[in-house]
Formats: sequence, structure tokens, C-alpha cells
Amino acid sequence: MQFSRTKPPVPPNETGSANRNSSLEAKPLRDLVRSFIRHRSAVIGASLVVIFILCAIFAPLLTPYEFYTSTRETLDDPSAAHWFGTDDLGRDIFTRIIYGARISLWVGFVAITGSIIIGSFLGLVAGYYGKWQDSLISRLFDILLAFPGILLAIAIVAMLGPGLNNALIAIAIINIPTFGRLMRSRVLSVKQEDFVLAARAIGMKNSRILWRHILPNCWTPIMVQGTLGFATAVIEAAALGFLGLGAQPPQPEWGTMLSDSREFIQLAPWTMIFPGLAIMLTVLGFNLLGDGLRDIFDPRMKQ
Amino acid sequence: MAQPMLEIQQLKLHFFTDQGVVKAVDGVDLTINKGEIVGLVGESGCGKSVTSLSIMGLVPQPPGKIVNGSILFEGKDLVRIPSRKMRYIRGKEIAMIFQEPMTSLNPLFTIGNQLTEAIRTHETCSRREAEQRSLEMLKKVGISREGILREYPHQLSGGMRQRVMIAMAMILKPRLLIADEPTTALDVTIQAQILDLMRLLNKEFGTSILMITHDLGIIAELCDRVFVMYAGQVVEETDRYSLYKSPGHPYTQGLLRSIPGMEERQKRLYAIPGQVVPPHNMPAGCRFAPRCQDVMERCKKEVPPLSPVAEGHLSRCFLHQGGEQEHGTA
Repeated sequence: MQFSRTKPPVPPNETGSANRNSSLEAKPLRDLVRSFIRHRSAVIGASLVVIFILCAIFAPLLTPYEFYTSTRETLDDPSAAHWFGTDDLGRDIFTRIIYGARISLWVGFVAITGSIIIGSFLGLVAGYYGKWQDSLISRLFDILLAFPGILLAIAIVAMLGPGLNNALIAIAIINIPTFGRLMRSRVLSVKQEDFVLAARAIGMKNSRILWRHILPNCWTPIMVQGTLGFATAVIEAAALGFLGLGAQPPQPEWGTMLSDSREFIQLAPWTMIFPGLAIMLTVLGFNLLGDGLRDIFDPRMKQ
Repeated sequence: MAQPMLEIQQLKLHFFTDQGVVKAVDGVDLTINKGEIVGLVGESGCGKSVTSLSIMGLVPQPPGKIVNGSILFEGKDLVRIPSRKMRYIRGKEIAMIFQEPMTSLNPLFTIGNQLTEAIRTHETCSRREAEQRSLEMLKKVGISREGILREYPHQLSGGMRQRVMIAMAMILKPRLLIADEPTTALDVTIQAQILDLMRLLNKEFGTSILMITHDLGIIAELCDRVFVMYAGQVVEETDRYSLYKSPGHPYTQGLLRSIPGMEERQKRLYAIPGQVVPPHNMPAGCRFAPRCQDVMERCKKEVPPLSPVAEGHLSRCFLHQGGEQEHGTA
């Protein structure tokens, strides 16, 4: 027996929170944490995400350089002084990538939060009220979805003018229908639940039913989709940056860095490899995390 | 003389669907007096749930539409009342409990949270006071477990949840409680407890109860008067004793015969022959005519009116009308 040498396993209910007397007590949060830890790719994804978040927060402490100062050491190989080498203006690439995490995460966070808020609101209205509100909003989503996402983003940025904030707005707009349609379909099914009828039967107001009974029961898929959408937003931000429509120099945006490296690919491949890796790992992290969350929240996956 | 609290007159509620008009409720008359327990029986799809939902104003419109009739609740016509005002009646004056206790509570909130919410929908009172009242009401419905207010629906059994639902419905002391098959999803032992509880609440608060069921046993146990529905119409109205002793309508007779008896050993259980008529293709005459054993030529052409069989006993059948006419002419 493997366990005989160590302590005998303690039944799960007797471990923490001894002050609660009932053994039937629900510990939804703990169950969630436990199934999260058991899910390997979710943990890997979360670790990647956390690493990038920490980099973004502690950027000034992690590197002695500034992301905008040029030096004479242009296109240096990776070395002890410059871990990821330097670019054509002699800027430390590691520093720029770390600061770039700030931009990518910021864009992802704000754009996706924006799409979730607007998309959920529209989806909620469309799903709950139905009728002409539904037709109007659904057609709006259809129109947005009729364009390839990145093309629409380019058009929006072209209209608003290049820049990080406008790129962010564009990304937020093109992601609205994803969340809107998800929310709408979720509302349509939750609306049919008995507890909604029961709430109406005690005379609750429509708005109160929406906020209290329908919205909270729709959150899970939105959260999962939000995590996955974060990854898409990071790519889209990089793509816009690459095209020169997103972050403007000297902002250390990964896509912009990639674009700048084009001329030196053969001479100094590290100028391209590291920003590319950063984008890939961030997207991978959020995708793994999102897939993991979907599995964890899926009741059919419960053990 | 008992005072009517709820009077449904000639209610017609039709669903306008792509397949045609479904006359779910087609000219129902129903009265409930103060403090009375009234049963509404019928098989699935006969319109009993739709009738109850239309009292609450909870029939989805469209596709549903009340095309005729009135629902008088203490003088107010619930059909014509603006929906803003209807909200104050729902829950406060008329409450409802549903068939499925397992899904009638929001899984994300605690029992206490949902009960106090019910109070605070209609009254302004402090959280402390609302919780106090919730606890008292839960005690009345037989839950005195400590910490119940902080528990989530999934921690309770079906019977417990139905008690919580009843507590939630009764907490504002409504004058009418509509119970839509409240015991169908429960064990027989729990059923009996729930029925006892409803009788108790009826006595204690004087709440009238409209008991919707397809279980004739529950009617015998609980109800003062019974309405039998078939295909959107009331076919019989009587008290519970004559329902069993002298059922007037052939449908009611068939229902009663369908209950397996304890006394006689039967090889096969009795079933009313034929099928319920399809809702968008009603026969011209009596709706039960295609399945009726005593069918006459007249039944296929004319819809029989509800006519008295005895004192307080109405039946929608020509058999009795014929009898009455003979009586009248003699």
C-alpha cells in the first residue's frame, strides 16, 4: 500500500472548516478548486496566464532597461546582458516583451470586458423580450458576423484612425456578436426554467427576474467564452499592430515588434522569435485555461 | 351561502399556432368560494394547467390569447386588469405552487434568500424581520432545521423543496392558493404529508385552494368540490361525495372505473377506449362523443350544455338533460 507509510487519508468532509456542523454542507468553491487542480491543461494554461500577468505587473522590477531607450548595441545576439537580444535600435527585446505583456493583456481585458458587457446586455434583451427586439438585435449580430472579424476590425480602425485605443474599440466591437448570441441562447433556455415561472408567480418585476434569476444562471458559458475570447483578442491586437493599425511606436506591442523584425529575419531571427513566442504562449495559455474551465463547469464531467 | 372569491365565466383561451388554433380552454366556468378547497381533475392536456395559469396571467401571449370570458377575483376582472396591477395580485393575493419542486427554486441562491425575496417583492421590511418571518413560515410547513435559511436548494430533498415552495407561496398569506399537481413528483408518503399540510394551511389561514390534479385519490382526500375537465371544457361539477357515488358524465364514470379496485381481481385494468381528441380538430358535438359508451346521434351534432343532475351537481351530457325534460313535462 502506498498510503500506509504516510498518514491515512482523511475523509474530505472532515478536513477544513470544522466550525460547520453539517456534513451535507455545500462547498461549491472548494469543489471547483479541486476539480480545477485535477485538470492538468487548465493548470498549465492558468500558470502561463499568471506568469504573463506577473510580468506585466512587475515589469520595471524584472529588467534594468527601459523599453524605449535605444543603445548602440543594435541587433545583438541573446546574451547574459540581453537575454532575448536587442533590436535594430538597440532596445532590449526581453524588456520590450515584458512591457508588451502590459499592452496585450490590457487590450485583451478591456476589449473582452467591453464585448461581454455590451454583448450580454443585447443578448439578454433579445432573449428575454423576444419579438421585435430579438429580430433587431439578432440581425445586428448577423451583420457583424457577415464580415470576417479582422477585416471588420481593420475597417473600424481605418475609420477611427490607427492607435492602440481605436484598435481596442475595434476588437471589442467585432467580438460583441459572439457573446451576444451565446447570451441570447442561454437566456432562451433559462427563461423556460420553472424557477423563472415561480418568480413571476410571486409577482416579481421583469427587471428583477432578469437580474436575479436569469443573468446569474447564464454566466458560466460567458465566462468560459470570455477566457477563450481573450486569446482571440490578443491575436487580433497583434495582427492590427503588425499592420501598423494598432499600437504605435515606441509602444512595445508584440505585433508591432514582429512587423519591425521582418527586415532582419535572417540577420537577427531573435527579433522575430521572441515576440512570436510571447503571442503564442499567451494565446495558448488562455485557450488551455478556457477549455479547462469549460470542462470543469460542465456538470457531465463531474466525478 | 358561501361567497364566491373567484369566478371564472365562459373563459376561452386559444393558442394561435402554425398548425392552427388550439382551443386549450373553451368556455370554462369555475367558482371558488372563500375558504374552500376546490379540485380540478382531468387527464394531461385537458387544459387544467392553462386554466390555472390564466388565473395568474402567466399564459405566454402570444401564442396564447384569451378570446372570451372573465376571471373575477373579488370583483376585479383579472383578464382586463393592466399587467402592472396584476403583479401586485400575483404572490400577494393569489399564489401558486408548481409540479416540479426540484426545478422551481433558483439553484444559485439560498433558501433564506429566496424566501425573503418573496416577502420583499410586496412589502418593505428589514432583512432581519423578513428572515424571522421566513423561519416561522418554514416551521409551519414542517421544516425546523437550524441553518435552513443558509442552505441551497440542492441540499434539500424533493419533499423539502416542495415545502419550501409552499412556504414561499403562503408567506404573504394569499387568499387563494393554486396548486398545480403539487404532489405528482413526490413519493406517496411525502404526498400524504404535503396534502395534510395544505389542509392545515387552509384551516389556519382560511386560504382557498384550487387543487389541480389527475389523481382522484387526492380529490377524495382533500377537496370540497370538484370540477372535471375534458378537452378544454368542464364536463362535470359536483361535491366529492357524489363524484364517487353518482358520477353524472360518462367521462367521469370512465375515470372512476379506471381506478384499479382492491376488491375484485381483474385480469386487465379498465381504460376508456380511444384517444383524447386532437386539440386542433375538435368534433362538432360533444367532445367526449367519439369515446363515449352511451353516445347518441344528437351528441355528434350539438355540444351539450352543463345541466343540473342534482342540487349542486352539473354535468355536460344529454343523458341528464333528457331526464330533466321528462321530469319537467311529467
